[in-house]
Amino acid sequence: MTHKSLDLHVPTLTRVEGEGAMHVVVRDGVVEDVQLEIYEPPRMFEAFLRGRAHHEPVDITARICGICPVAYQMSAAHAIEHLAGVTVDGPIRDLRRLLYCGEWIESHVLHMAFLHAPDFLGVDSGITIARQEPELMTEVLHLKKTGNRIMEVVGGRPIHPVNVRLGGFYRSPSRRELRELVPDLERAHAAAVTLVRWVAGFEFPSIPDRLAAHTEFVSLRHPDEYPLNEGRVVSNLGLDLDVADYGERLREVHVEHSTALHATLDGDRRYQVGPLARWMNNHDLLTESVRALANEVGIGDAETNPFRSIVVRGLETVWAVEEALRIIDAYAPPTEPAVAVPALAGVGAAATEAPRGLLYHRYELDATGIITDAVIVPPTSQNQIAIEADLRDFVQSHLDLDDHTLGHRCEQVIRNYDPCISCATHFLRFSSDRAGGDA
Amino acid sequence: MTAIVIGVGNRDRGDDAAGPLVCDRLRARPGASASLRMFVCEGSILDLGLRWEPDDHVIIVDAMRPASRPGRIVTVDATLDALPTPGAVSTHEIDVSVAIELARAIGRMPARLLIVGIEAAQAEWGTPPSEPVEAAIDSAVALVEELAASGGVPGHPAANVAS
Repeated sequence: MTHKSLDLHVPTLTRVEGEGAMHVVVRDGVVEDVQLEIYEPPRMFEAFLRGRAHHEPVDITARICGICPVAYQMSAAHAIEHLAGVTVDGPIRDLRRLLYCGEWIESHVLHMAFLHAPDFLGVDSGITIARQEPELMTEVLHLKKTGNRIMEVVGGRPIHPVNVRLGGFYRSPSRRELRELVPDLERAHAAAVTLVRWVAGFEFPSIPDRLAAHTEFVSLRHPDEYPLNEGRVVSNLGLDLDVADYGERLREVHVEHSTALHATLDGDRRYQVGPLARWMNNHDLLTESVRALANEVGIGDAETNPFRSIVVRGLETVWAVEEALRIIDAYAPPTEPAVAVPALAGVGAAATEAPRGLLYHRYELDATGIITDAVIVPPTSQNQIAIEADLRDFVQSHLDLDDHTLGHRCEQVIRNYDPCISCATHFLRFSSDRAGGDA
Repeated sequence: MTAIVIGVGNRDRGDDAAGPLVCDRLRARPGASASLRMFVCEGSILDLGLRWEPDDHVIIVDAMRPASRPGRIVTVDATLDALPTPGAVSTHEIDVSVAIELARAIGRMPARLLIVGIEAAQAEWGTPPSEPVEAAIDSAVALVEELAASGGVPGHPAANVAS
């Protein structure tokens, strides 16, 4: 057993969405402290929303993130529609799923190929990978572009869509406009499958004893479809709640080293959200082709190694491409692009599945439809405690590594979660304190 | 040969709107050349290299970081020489240089690729372009038209110069 002490500090974490830092302290072979520091100033979106009209969160919250604006738009729209007792179905519902597929594709591919893959290959950037694998990365870029193209056609812009409104859209695309996406999606499907096989060939570190029984994996669960916009909140440990009840069980606490709140269930239940949770709770709802591909690359019904989340993201990308093709094939434009959503007094909540995991919104409106309170709990806030637990367990079980390698691996542990630090309102730096040396 | 003008930037962020504004004015000019194609890139920039073909002459117009002379126009020929990139970056640092080097890495560079940079004074959310940048837009438009007309001419004097 090592008795080493160390102090690891990474002041600026790279290849993440946003910026932050990490600090790990080990004394006499025991990890004493782990901190994922988020030091970006709070962006006050919840405060901005108070006093605004009920139709405005869809546009305001889209500006929280350039990578996952659709998630914010969908959670905001559904929360206020729930409050008003409005259900959006038919082709408008399908268009929302299609838009979300576009976001999953562009976000997952950006993370997999450009932010996470360099960790496994020992290179510093996607450009280096592109020099080594030009044909693969050309197809990967096309795959990502196809996701952005869906967002442009359905949402009006490739980022920060402007065509989304309460009750649906300002304009619904024609059947021809959607059909024009099909050749790109067919090419994208082949690229997504290739990408899965490529990342599945990486060597994956592990965290000993990190079992499903030790971690609560939380996601939406819909009876008929892999979840995007709707469903109950479930977990592998028996959680099964309506979204409104989930909000009541959420507890957010402030910790000194982070400007992002840490979320727990009931104040003490640590959990995680994201692709591993979605997969674990919904694998039976995937297409046969995705399940066959999962079998081929060794992903079972319950994947618990966070380093293998990159493979699950790839499988979800294949699914999103297939779902987009399915929606386009069945699409007939709606009679009207949106349904009316009246401004009523009350409280409405919703959660949808952002690429990084469950995104919860809750709004309280007065009798004139003005927002009096807003709560937004992004996936990265919900994952912070799990990230710090992984860092602690990983460092504790890999103290034999040299400082440089250990620091690098710790960054990789964080990137397993594809953290959207800006969404969580925040930034990252990494440090380690290894005083005393090896014994 | 078709010249492609790509205006990169965010219209809602002060001088970052310079690239899109140049494209707007090129489109609005009487008798805008049919051999000139314009598009604005306000969003994902990584796939820039998929937007042109090997025979194209491409001119990218983008705002540059504030330094000492807001409104200064700089032209860089990126056809052959690699641009410095920030290496391992967060998504907030993915810029034109990353996109171009990615295109070079996958073997998708156009016949000629010029960057016209306009030095910004500020890029604050919700603000209009600053006076010096606004004043530089017409000069940038004229420069882009000149560069497009001389496309493919090796050693064109406009390359790698500041005005």
